[in-house]
Amino acid sequence: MKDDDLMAAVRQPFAGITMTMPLDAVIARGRSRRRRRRLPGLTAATVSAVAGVALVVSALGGGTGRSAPAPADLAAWTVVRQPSGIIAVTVRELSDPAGLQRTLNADKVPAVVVFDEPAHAGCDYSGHTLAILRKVLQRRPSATGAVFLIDPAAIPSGARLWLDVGSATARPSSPSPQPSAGKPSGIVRPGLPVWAVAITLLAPGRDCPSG
Amino acid sequence: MSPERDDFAEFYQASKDDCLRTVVASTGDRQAAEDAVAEAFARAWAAWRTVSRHPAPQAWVVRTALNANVSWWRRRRREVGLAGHGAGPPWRPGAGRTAPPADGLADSPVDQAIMAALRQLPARQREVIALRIFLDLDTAHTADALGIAPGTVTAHLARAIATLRENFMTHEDAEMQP
Repeated sequence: MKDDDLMAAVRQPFAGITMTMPLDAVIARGRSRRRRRRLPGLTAATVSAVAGVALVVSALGGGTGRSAPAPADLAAWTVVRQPSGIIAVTVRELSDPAGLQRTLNADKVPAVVVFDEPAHAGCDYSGHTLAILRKVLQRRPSATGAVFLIDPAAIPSGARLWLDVGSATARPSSPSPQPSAGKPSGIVRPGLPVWAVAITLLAPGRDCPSG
Repeated sequence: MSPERDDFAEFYQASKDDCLRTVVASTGDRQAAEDAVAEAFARAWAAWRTVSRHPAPQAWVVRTALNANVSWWRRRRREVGLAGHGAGPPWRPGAGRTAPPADGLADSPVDQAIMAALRQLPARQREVIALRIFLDLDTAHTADALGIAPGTVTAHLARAIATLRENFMTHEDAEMQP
């Protein structure tokens, strides 16, 4: 086998791998880096807050006349609307859930966002099956946080998406934790954080009690 | 759009997939690779006036992504480390999580054999051959991107090709067995 043939064979399994992040999101992320470089005295949190305010103004229209908000890329989380209408969300830090909720709402995702709260066993699941929930939200493997795709079109009319993102560190003394309310379960290694995304759909007019 | 943005957009569209494939082949972690490549392109845009004059800007992106990946691994090791960090289907309160899905890279037995052979290569050999295969970099640019001597690139490439060929031939022989 010639070298060229060998390299073509090695290339083949990667043919389906493509970047999903749109150009606008990359540029927004780059602009964020530029801003941070220009404002060395500000903390990352301050920059995030400033960006969050700018984002809300943008989402509300802000006189720009755009029908869709620009991709939001903050240090804590990123929201990108893909051409297919799917919303890609990456949560890296459990910070500013209200900002994430506003961003999702501006992207026409009727979501209620909480971070790392206890389970809401009293939520009204309204008979929605796991099959429906799987259509609404799909997880993506990620080493750096919680990454998931939301399909707004899959959310039943009038329903709201309750989205609970959390992380927990597996305890050294509990190598095989039992499924517990509000925390991830499954096989985890002690001392290591685990990201979890809990969702449910709230029926029109119904709410999800806290605690 | 500004000419600078147009220029970057053209670069991004032309090179994003091959840059991602290079980093995936080098690291074996698809999602971490996508995060790292996105970050590298963002840095490229933040410094586009400089990066655009680089003799091989796509190699700059890959190098930056690989460095970001290394930084992330070091930070992860120093702080807490990670376990099952989020793969799987939607999880509901009270519902158990299932095992993480595969990375989706390889489907056929041949693909899986190639991926297994790549994983067996030392990291530097994987990087060298990935830069050659996906970015078509010559020895000088590969050496520049990885910060190693051209002679070292040649040696790594020769060893990597020999190992891959041996694995590939072995797999083909196995498939021909009755």
